[in-house]
Formats: sequence, C-alpha cells, structure tokens
Amino acid sequence: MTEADKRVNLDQLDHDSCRSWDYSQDFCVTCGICSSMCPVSGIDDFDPRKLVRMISLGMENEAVDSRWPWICTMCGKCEASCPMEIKISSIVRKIRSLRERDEVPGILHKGLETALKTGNNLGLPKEDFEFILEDVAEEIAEEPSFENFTVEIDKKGANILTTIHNKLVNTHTDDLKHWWKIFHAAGEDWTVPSENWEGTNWGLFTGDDEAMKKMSGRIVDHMKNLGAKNLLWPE
Amino acid sequence: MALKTLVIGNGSCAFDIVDNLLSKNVEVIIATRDNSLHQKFSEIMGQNITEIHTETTIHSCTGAIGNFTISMKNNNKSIIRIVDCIVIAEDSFRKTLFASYGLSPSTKTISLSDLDNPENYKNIADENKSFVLLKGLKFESNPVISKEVMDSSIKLASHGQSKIYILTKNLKVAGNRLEALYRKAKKAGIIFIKFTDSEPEFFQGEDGKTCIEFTDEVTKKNFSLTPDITVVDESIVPSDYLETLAKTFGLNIDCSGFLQSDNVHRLPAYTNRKGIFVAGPSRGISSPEDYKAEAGTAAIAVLNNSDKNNYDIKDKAYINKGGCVRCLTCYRICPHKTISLNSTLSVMPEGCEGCGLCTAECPKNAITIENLDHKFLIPDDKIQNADSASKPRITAFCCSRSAAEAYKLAVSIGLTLPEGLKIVEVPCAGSISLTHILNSLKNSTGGTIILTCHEGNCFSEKGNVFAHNRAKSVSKMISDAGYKKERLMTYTIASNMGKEFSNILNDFEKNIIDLE
Amino acid sequence: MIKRKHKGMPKKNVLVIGGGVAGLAAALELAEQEIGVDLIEKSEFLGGHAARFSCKASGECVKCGACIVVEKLKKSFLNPNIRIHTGCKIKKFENNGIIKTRVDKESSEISFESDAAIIASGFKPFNPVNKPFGYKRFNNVITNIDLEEMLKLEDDVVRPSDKRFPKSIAFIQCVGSRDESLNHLWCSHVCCGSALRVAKKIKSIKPETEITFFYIDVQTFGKDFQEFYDSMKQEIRMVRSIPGDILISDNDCPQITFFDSEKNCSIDEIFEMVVLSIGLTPGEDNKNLSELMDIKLDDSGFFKSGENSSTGIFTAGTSRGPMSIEDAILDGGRAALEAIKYIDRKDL
Repeated sequence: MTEADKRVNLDQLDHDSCRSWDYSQDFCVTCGICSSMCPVSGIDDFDPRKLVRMISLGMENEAVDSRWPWICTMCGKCEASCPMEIKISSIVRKIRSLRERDEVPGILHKGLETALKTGNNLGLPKEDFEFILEDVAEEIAEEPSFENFTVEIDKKGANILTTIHNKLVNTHTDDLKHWWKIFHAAGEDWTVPSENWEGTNWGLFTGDDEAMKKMSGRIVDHMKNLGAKNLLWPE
Repeated sequence: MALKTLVIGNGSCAFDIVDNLLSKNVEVIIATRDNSLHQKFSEIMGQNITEIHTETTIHSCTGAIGNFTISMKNNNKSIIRIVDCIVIAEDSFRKTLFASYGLSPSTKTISLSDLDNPENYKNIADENKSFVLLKGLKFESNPVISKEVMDSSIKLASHGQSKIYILTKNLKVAGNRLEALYRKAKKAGIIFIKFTDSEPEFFQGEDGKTCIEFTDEVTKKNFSLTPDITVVDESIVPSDYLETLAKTFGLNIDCSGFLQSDNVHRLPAYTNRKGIFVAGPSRGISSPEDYKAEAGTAAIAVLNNSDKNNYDIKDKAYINKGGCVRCLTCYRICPHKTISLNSTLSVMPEGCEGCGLCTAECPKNAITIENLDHKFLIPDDKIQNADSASKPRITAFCCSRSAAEAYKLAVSIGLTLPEGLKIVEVPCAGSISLTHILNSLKNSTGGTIILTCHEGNCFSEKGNVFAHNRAKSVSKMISDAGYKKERLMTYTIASNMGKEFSNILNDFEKNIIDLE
Repeated sequence: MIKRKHKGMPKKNVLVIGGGVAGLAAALELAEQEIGVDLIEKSEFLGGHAARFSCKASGECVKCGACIVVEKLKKSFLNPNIRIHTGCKIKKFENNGIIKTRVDKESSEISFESDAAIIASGFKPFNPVNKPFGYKRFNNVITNIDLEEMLKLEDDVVRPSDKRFPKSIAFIQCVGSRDESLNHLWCSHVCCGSALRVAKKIKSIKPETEITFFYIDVQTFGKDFQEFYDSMKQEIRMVRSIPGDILISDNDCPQITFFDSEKNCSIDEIFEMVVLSIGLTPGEDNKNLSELMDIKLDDSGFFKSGENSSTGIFTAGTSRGPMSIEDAILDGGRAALEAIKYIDRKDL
C-alpha cells in the first residue's frame, strides 16, 4: 500500500464521536508541554498530545486499537502541566476502557482476572500469604528491640487496617519491614486481612470501572467486617 | 481663527476623526475620491460645518503647517483651499490570495470577504456542509484576519455546520480577547490544523472545488479534505491612492506602502512633514477598535496646533540668498519637506525641525541655523585648560535624541567616562558636515567619535545615514593622507543605553591611548 | 459655511494614575491641550516597566519602542502643566462630578481635585516560580525582563552564575500566558517580539551563540514582520513545542526536556542559559482601584475596555490588557481625548 492509499479523508470522520467525553480535549492549543513532560514520549511513536488530538478528531477506533494508550504509565504529569486543563489521564483510561477485555495487554488483563477470581493479582493462596507474612514477622523479631514483634492477621477492631501490594509478598518482602517496624515503634494497633488483601487495583489501568468497584468493595467489606477504624491503602 | 483641517478619506476612521475634530470646533474639509460619502457621515451632515468634496483628488500641496495650500481636482474643476493641518485616513484594501495558493476563485473556492457579505452568506451557509478556511499558510497573517476567520467560522457553526476546519501556520492571537475567541471556536467544534514547516497541497477540480492533502503534524497522519467550500484568506494592503498621496505630500512610506515610515518617532500619528498626520488604515494594519483609538490620537495631534503663536520658529534653517546657487540640494534632501520653491529658495520655519541636514549638505555653505554652528565652535575652556598630557582629548558628536540622552543617563548614574571627553550635542547627526569632522580632527589631540541613533530610528529619517557616509569618506581621506583612521569612529546608540555609551567611549579612549 | 470661533479652554485638571508609557502619553496630550495634569505614581520613578527595557537594535532599529520612554519622560518633566507626584498611594477617591483624591506621599497627605481621571496603572509581570522551569531555583534560568535589564544596565549578556557570555540560550515562550489553568486566557502580545528582537541582538553581538526558541504560535509584531521572521528562522532554531521539566546539569547549565515533533521523540538538551518569556498579568492594584473608583474589571482581571464616559473615569494602556509600547502610546492618546470630550460635554 502506498502512502497516498493510507490517506484518510478527514471530513468523512465523525468528529463528534468523542465530543461527549468531558475531558476538554477539544481545547488543546497543541503547545506540546504534555509530550515534553511525558516520560514515555517517543516510545513506539507515542506521545500524549497525539492521543488528545486523535480523540478530538474523532479517531476513536484507531486510538482504541493502537498500542499507544497502553504505553502510558498514567503518571499524570501531562495533565498536571496542561495549560488548558485537559484531563489527559482520563482520556487514556477512557480509551483503555473501550478495548475488548480479552484484548487488554496480557499482564494487566491476567492480573486483574486473577485478582477478581482469587483476591490478589498473583493468585496467592491464603495459606501461602499467611506463611509469608509470618515469616517476615519472624525475621523482624530477630532484630534488636523488635523481639516481641508479631503480625496479627484479621484482628477485629484494630485502629489501622492495611492492604498489601502484591509485590511486597512476592519479590520485595523486605519492603514490608520498614513500615511494619514503624507501626511497632509507634505502638500502633494494626492488622492485615487474610484474603482479598490486594492493594493494587488494576481496574484503574485497564479502564475497567466494574472491576475497580469490585476490588474496592472488598476493602470496604473488610473495614466493616473487622470493624477497623482507619484504612491504610498503600499503592 | 479656527483651526482648519483637511481630512482625506471616507471610512469609519476618517469619520471618527472628523467627528472628534468637529466636537472641538475645528473647521473640517473632507476630500474623497469616492462618488458619495460613507453613510456614517449623514450623522454629522446636519451640523453644516463641514465642507465636503467628493470625486476629488489632491493635486498639489505647498506651504507648511498653519498654511498649507491644497490644490484639488474635481473632474476638471480646480479647488484651492488653505488649511492648517491635514489628516490622511484612507481605508485600506483587501487583496485576495487565490494565486498564492495556486487556486482560482469559483463558487466553491471563495475569498474571506465573500463570506462576510450578508447576501452571499446565507446562500453559502444554507447550501453547503463542510468548510475549510485557509489562514496565513503562504504569508504570515495578522490578528485582524485571524479574528475574521474565527468569527466567520463560529458564525457558520452556529448556523448548524459541523465540519469546519481552519488550516493555519502561526495562529495569531495577539489581539484583544483573541485567545478567548480561539477557545470559543474550539468549543463550537471548529477544528484547527496547524502547520509549521510543511504546507498542505491544493488541487482544484473542474467544478471549482478544492481538495486539500496534508500530513497532520500532531498525529503524523496523511489526511485529505474535500470541503464543499474553501475560503481563502486575504491580506490587508494600503489603498492604491496612498502612493499618489505620498508623492503629492512628500511623505515617506513603510515597507508595505502605508503612509508612515517605520520609525518609532512617528508614533502615534505623525509623518515626516509637520502638520500632516496619518491614522488607522492609512497608517497600518490594526483592529477596528485600534483604528478608533488612532482616530483619537490623530485628532488630538491636530488639536495640539490650536495656538498658532506657539509654532516653534526658533533655531530654524535659513538660506542665505547671496550664497544660494539654486542647486536644489536642500529641496531634495529636506526630510520634512519644508523648503519652499519660489523665485528664491527659502525655508518655511513653521515646518522646519531644525535637523540641519541641509546646512551640512549645502555645497555653498549658504544655509545656517542660528546656534548650531555656534555650538560646534564654542571652545570648551575646561577641557582646553585641563592637564591633557595623560589623557587624550576626545570630541564626541552626539545626536540630541539618542547619544546625548544616553550621555546624560551615563552621567546621572555615575558611570565612568573619559576625562578628556568633550560632548558636542547636535540636533541630528545629519547636521555634522565634512568641515565639522575635519575641524574636530584638527583640534582634538585624541580622536573624534560620532554617535548617532540606529538606522531606522532617525527623527530626520536618514540623518544618521548621512553622518555615517560622511565619516566614511573622511576616514578614507585621512587614511590616504597617512593619518590613523582609528581616530575617527562612528557608532549607533539609543537614548536609554547609558552603560553602552560609557563602554563605547571608554573603549574608544583605550584604543586612542594604544595608538600613541 | 459657518465659522466658529475658537474658544479658549478653561483651566481644567485631570488625574492620571500611573506614570508608565500610557500614563505619560495621556498626560502629555492633555498638557498640550492646556489641561492641568496630576500624574501620580506609586513607585519613586516614572517610566514603568518599559523604562527597564533595553534597546534591541543592532545597528538597525528594530522598533521595540523602548527609547520612546526616555523622550516621553523628558517632555513630561519639561511640561509645566504636568505636576508629577511619585511615591504616592491613593487613600481616598470621591467622584461627585468633581473627582476628589487623597494620596499619601511619604508621611504627608496630598489632595487633588480633578475633572476627569485616567487609570493607567499598568500590568504585573507573571511570576514564574511555580512553573516547572526552575526560576529562582537555578541561577541560569532568568526572565525576559531580567535579560532586558541586564542588556540595559550592563550592556552585556552573561550567565548569572559565572558572568560568562552563554554559548547557547533557550527562550521559552508563553510562560504564564495562554493558560486557562491560571485563568490567563490571553496572549501577552509582546513576548514574541521581545524574545526574537533580543535574540537578533545577541546573534549580532556573538553570531556563534546557539539560540533555540520554544513556542506555540509566533505572533506578528512590527511592520516588517514577514521579513524579520524569515531572517530569524535562518539565524535561530525554532521549536514548536513548550518544554517540560528543567533540571540542572554540570556547570549550572539547565537541561531541558522537550518533545521534538519532527523526530517524534523527547530530547534532553543542555543549554547554558534559559530565558522565560513571562506574560503580562493584571496590575496588582487593579482590584483595589476597581473598588475604590467603582470601575469594573473583566473576567480576566483587567479593566473593562468599554469607556466609562458617564463617570469621567477612563482606562488606558496595559491596565486594560496586554499591549506593546506602541499600542500603549496610542491608547494613552485615545484616553486623553475621551477625557477632553467628557470635560467639554460636562461644560455644556
């Protein structure tokens, strides 16, 4: 196919197709600060301004089918710097939401599916999770002045309930120690749920509102069932 | 005696000027080439204090401020009037840009003004669905056209059209509320496609429709557009009458042919000739509201001449009849067109700015300005008596509007200047003659430096260029004669640059010391 | 044709608030018409921001208008109809046909009676400290006003960190302009002209200086814009993109990350100095003056353009919105005429 064949007749596009999206995308003055700010601009020809522009022109399908919305890390720098207050992160998420679920890039799709099914992105069984937490607690207890450190799982009426990022019970278990030790030193009354403890919510990244709601609902349920007073939801 | 003013023009700006002048009891004569006056004027006709000449052109203008004799032609009838001041406010023209895009006008490819025409508009808007407006793709546009393009687009959008595209290079928003208008246009669904280095390609079919192909710089997509209507932007150009008027009145024009040289000293409404003012669409490209402001400033410029006893006629050029050989050099070079050409040549002092260009250029030294030569020749006792053994004596010829002000600024903020510096303030560097330069070189132990305003900033238009050319020829002369040409230098400087003045002078002194 | 007798103007007075370009232009036009002017200025000096600007010529005048301020100042000092009051703060303002103003000057109080007033209180330069460009954090990030002042006072362009002529300079346009998030939905009109004219001057001082100009849309300025712009495109690099973060690199050099639309990727580039072209924002006294004098501001915070011809209070210059020195002179003249017409009407 030659370049000319690929030419799109602009006035055949439905420019109104995304006009109901309330993200101010039509107000772009193409200043480019979003693309300059973006840490992943240039990867596979992606830049945020391009996506904003495509949506403004009504090139919805092409945006949904492209890899670009999935290159974005959703860090939000583009949106924070946009002089026209265009909600660029929301646009990216909206485009992601329009992709068929089984077309969502592998790891996100699989992780979310697993989380919905098993309560965490890793599919880690309850026993293994508890074993890891207790193992970490024992390691802390070996350190001077933390001799009586323990982790209390599913404790009722605790002051703080904390969720866990799956990475912390997988490859980064040492990172759990820092804040647990702070809890201990502060004499904090805290607990961790034994199931549905996943702190990440990949519904955010795949644009799946339903999944997001379900994952959040689980945390809300914990708060109610365990009667915890405060929620610490690190992500 | 009432102030009498000739207003040339027949548009909104001319009307505003006339209206302003009448409200201050100025006697106004209106002259226009048109058959009839713009309907706006009917508001003030009843006042019956205005003399109106339609189908009238200006034939000649002699005299100076307070006493211009205007000869006008109405068909073959000659009309002579004597006026104090003249204001030129001819409307500008619109030039279509079809040719620059390689397009031909058709029912489907139209010019911006066609869309402005209310009769055309309804048909065009009713019968067509998609519109492309081209703006500033071939030539840099301006905020006036930018506003019109956006206004027209918004109007089309409110007419129910959903496919409206504006193709532009730099979008001009440096006008009152234009950024807000840009936003409003985008809100109305108008799509802006900006180009930087690339340009769209245009193909016009036999039906007159234009097809446009381009690569969008943001999405990198190749697009084509086949709008029902393509609207080509326009450029704003001076009225074709201005060229004639410029010649008749001896006025300088800018690079586009508007009737005010591109010189900040002519702001807001002045020309090179005292008592002749220019406003609005005869002066340049601005928005209608700015033209209104200009009508105000032009009127006030006229009013400032109300008191004729106040005409400054001191220190003006005077032609010594005995010396004059009628070579017409002065007549030719006078930037303010105030040499009167009768049986003898004379300077009309009311129009003279005292720049002295004529005094320096007159081959017979027949023109003098009282105080001017005197100033040059005054020996500066202080410097003459100073112990100049260690420091060279430097004569600095300073243009009064630039270098002399910069000198005063340097002194006022306590900057260091050469000890042996002698300042010779001249009204305009153009008044520094070959004799002055040679005398100065003869009398200075160190060197002579000529400081003028920057080119294009001279109140006398080209006085600085005259000075630089003279210095160049002297420089060649002295260097041919074996004298160090570094002893004569020229620089340009602005009035607000005290530090630069001090740096130039100190460097010059240093170079002179190094010579010795 | 009826000939009317020229009436001598009775002695009238106008209050002009602000001694910048527009205020001076208005005062001079009024004074020429034999109207007494009380020109009040809150700072100790007349001339406003424009008095800090440098000449940008390099042999040839580029029509920036900075030198005109000197001329206006000189004329104002020489005109006996203009009474200049610097270091003044308005305390009280009453308008019952006759405008009565009381100002504090040092420890004393001065009162004026005026027939009309012109507000020419100017603009406030945008303060870019909260923008991600490192202003006030990195030595070699300065504003265009800092640069103009440096050129004027030092007759040189140097990096603040080591007083050395920078080998490469980046100009970033529209800092604080064209910005809905700041409620600054306006172009500041003058910054493209200021930056490109200074860039031309720098190139003429040291032609080997590498200059990059980051912009959204280049605005037209000057009568010979097309020619000027075409020549600048040959002399400097134009990048149609506003940069993102600025970090500091070795030797106090700012490192700019910007999206290169042509190459379609982000580029990190080190410059020796960065100049932010800061916008014109409403004057800090606008709100106060608006309340005190009962004159409305528009939704941007500038004084409304519509004239208040019924009250005898007029507005001029950048108190109404961004404008160039040239436009401020024009606008001062316009306001002066409006005031004169108002006084005439009142007399009838």
